[in-house]
Amino acid sequence: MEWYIAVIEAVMMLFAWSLLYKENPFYRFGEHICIGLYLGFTLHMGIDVLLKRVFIPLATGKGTISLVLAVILGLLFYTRYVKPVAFLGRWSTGVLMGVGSGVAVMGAIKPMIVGQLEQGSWFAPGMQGFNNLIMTISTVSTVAYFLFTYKPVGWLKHLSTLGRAILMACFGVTLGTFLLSNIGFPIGMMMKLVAPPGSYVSILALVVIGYDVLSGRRSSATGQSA
Amino acid sequence: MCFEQDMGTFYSGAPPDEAGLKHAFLMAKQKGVKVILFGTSGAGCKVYIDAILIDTEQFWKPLRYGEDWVNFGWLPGFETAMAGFARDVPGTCRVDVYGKRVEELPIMKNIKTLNDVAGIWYSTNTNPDMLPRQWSPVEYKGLKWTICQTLFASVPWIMPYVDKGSITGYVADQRGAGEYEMLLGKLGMGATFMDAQSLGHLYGIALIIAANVHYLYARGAKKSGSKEK
Repeated sequence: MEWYIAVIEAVMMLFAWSLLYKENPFYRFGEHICIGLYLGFTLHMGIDVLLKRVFIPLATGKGTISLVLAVILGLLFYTRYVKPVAFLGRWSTGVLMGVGSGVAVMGAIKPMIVGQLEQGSWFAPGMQGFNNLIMTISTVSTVAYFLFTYKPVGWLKHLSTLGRAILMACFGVTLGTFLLSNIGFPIGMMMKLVAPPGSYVSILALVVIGYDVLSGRRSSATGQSA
Repeated sequence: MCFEQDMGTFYSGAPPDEAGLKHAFLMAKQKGVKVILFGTSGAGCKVYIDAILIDTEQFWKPLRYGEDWVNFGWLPGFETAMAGFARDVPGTCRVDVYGKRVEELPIMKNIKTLNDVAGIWYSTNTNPDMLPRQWSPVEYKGLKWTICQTLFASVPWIMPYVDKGSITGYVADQRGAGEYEMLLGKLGMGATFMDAQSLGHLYGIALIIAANVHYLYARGAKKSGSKEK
């Protein structure tokens, strides 16, 4: 990697992380650059895709009827800026929502609904049978916890307490794995800040923060004495 | 290989993805496996693919672009594009990142639907549900396997799919990358980051112990103070 890219990378990271110290102009600058770059790049990619997949095929006579229809539906989105024909934009939204939902629901039936309803045997070999048993108990007890039609007394109370314990264990696992995942982000970035040339930027940042802390103390001390 | 990632998730997604990509390119060299790359999540996935290709340069450099591997960049449409890829590959991947039409790419000659693809590597940091929904080996008999590369936090999410065979296997985060690299014999980012992660966990455990000791000490002091009163 070119040295200046590593320096820019380290500078931008430290700009972002400087918020941990306090709100400052470096952080604001980094934030604006980041949002601006992302929006600029998304716009560039959008135009690039439109050119390659829509305009060039249409201009060279390689466009299909479905492509022309898609272009018309896409252009209908802009009718919302002209009040008398603004309702036409709803057609595009409708098609987009309908296709999206249709594609998702069609694919979901087998793996997400039918597949998950199949219960494995409790007597399956090895740990599989035990896992299946745990799954059955967890499902029934969790459902019992969310059963608000009847007052939880007797066996239902014990079952719902078990359900609550299972839910807590589940949330604990989710939180723990989420934290584990998130540790990965700073670790990867940290590598850039501890090796040259990023380490020089880190040292500079520490000097700036040190100066700010000292000058802040001095000014508060002068304020108190005054 | 489909990458639903962008640069914001680079250090979490790239280690396992690079391990998978290295493996794919090694298989391409040794066994003539063909590799197709794309992303459907958003414009950022194109930059992500470019970045991991820079890191794995020595693995794809001797291979022929368009014959051994191809990069379609960003296929707009998200899940709709995934559904489109399953049913009509040439209709969804019309042009590659260089603007070359799919008909001009020899690698894509016999690939019409997902049944013509042996396996899928799906990398996501958001929603792994779309993989079994659109690209399930249960649905497409030609598809032998699907691997989901995801966050460690999403492992409990995808386990029911793995149990039912809708997803063949998974590689989770930096730990998965480290394990993959060990199996592959090509150590990289994953193995390096795992050392740092282990130390990070030790630091976390130390903080938990210190905070609890402080809490118990403070509670004890408070109790003894109230007794004296």
